[in-house]
Amino acid sequence: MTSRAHDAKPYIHENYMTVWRQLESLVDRGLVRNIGTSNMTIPKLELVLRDARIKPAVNEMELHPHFQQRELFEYVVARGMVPIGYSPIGSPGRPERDRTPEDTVDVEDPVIVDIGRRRGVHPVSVCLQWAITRGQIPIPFSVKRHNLLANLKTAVSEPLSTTDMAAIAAIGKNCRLIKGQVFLWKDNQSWEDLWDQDGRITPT
Amino acid sequence: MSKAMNRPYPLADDAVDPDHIPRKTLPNGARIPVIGMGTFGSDSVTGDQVAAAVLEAARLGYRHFDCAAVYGNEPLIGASLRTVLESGVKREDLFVTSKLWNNNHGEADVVPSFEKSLRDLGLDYLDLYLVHWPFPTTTPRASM
Repeated sequence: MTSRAHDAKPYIHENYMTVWRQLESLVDRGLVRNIGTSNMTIPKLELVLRDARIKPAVNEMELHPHFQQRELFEYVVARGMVPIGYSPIGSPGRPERDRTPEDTVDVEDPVIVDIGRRRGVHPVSVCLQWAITRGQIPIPFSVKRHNLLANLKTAVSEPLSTTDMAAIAAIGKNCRLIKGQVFLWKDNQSWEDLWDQDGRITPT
Repeated sequence: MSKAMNRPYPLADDAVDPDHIPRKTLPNGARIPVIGMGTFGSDSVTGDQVAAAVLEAARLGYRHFDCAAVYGNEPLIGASLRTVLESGVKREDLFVTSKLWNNNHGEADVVPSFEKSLRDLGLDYLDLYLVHWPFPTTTPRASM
């Protein structure tokens, strides 16, 4: 894995709100219709929601069957934000720097494969259908026509059954793929420090 | 009048009708399609390939495109979006996102960064603008 960037800085809420007020000014000027956050955690969002004049409309976050982020997902939805899910099929094309031997492969999960077989679709489509049925917006990437079309078709297909949704809810592996290690701001930290895992913002 | 002229855009024969793609309502009433196309080409797909895929995606019925300055391909995607708009797709039917990169968290850098993405994408407004990561970098914009 690539080590951290030497110019990385920690989250400082005051600085984030300086950025956010500039985004609010863009809304005021009619240059952007909605503003949102990405790669956030609950303790950071608590502060932003407390201090923002215009609340974030969305939070974009990594979401796929092996990384469901249930607590953050429910937090985002409960506060009226729409979750947008990146790496919705487990990001098979992610950069080398974001690959580790521990990573798992969503589309090879027996539960996903089995649902796909029963529905007559590729496991990729099952991942996207899970996202849409759950209520997050997946943003899959492909440059291949047949993949683009198959991905889009999941938006007009039958939602997954309650049974299938429950089966997928049980296969979460807390497998974060985009760990963000280049953003670590000092030596001897691990990527977990970026994600405020004990429920408070990691001290600077 | 030809079929192509009757249609707002020459959708492929096997396209999904964009009007059939459900949308979710954002807090201010804006409506976002429940699936979008990501545009990060990672370390294996060129900007030209991504831009060609955006054009193809629009023909297949996509209207929601998730972009970012750091992906390095917004001028190329902008050319594809212009083609889509010139062919008759209404701007209000598109949903285009971009994101502020970490090196532009300085108070004076945010708006110019946004305006660059807006210009690169060839649009006069964006539907959604995100702070890409909550971690700034200290490298000044001029040296990037």
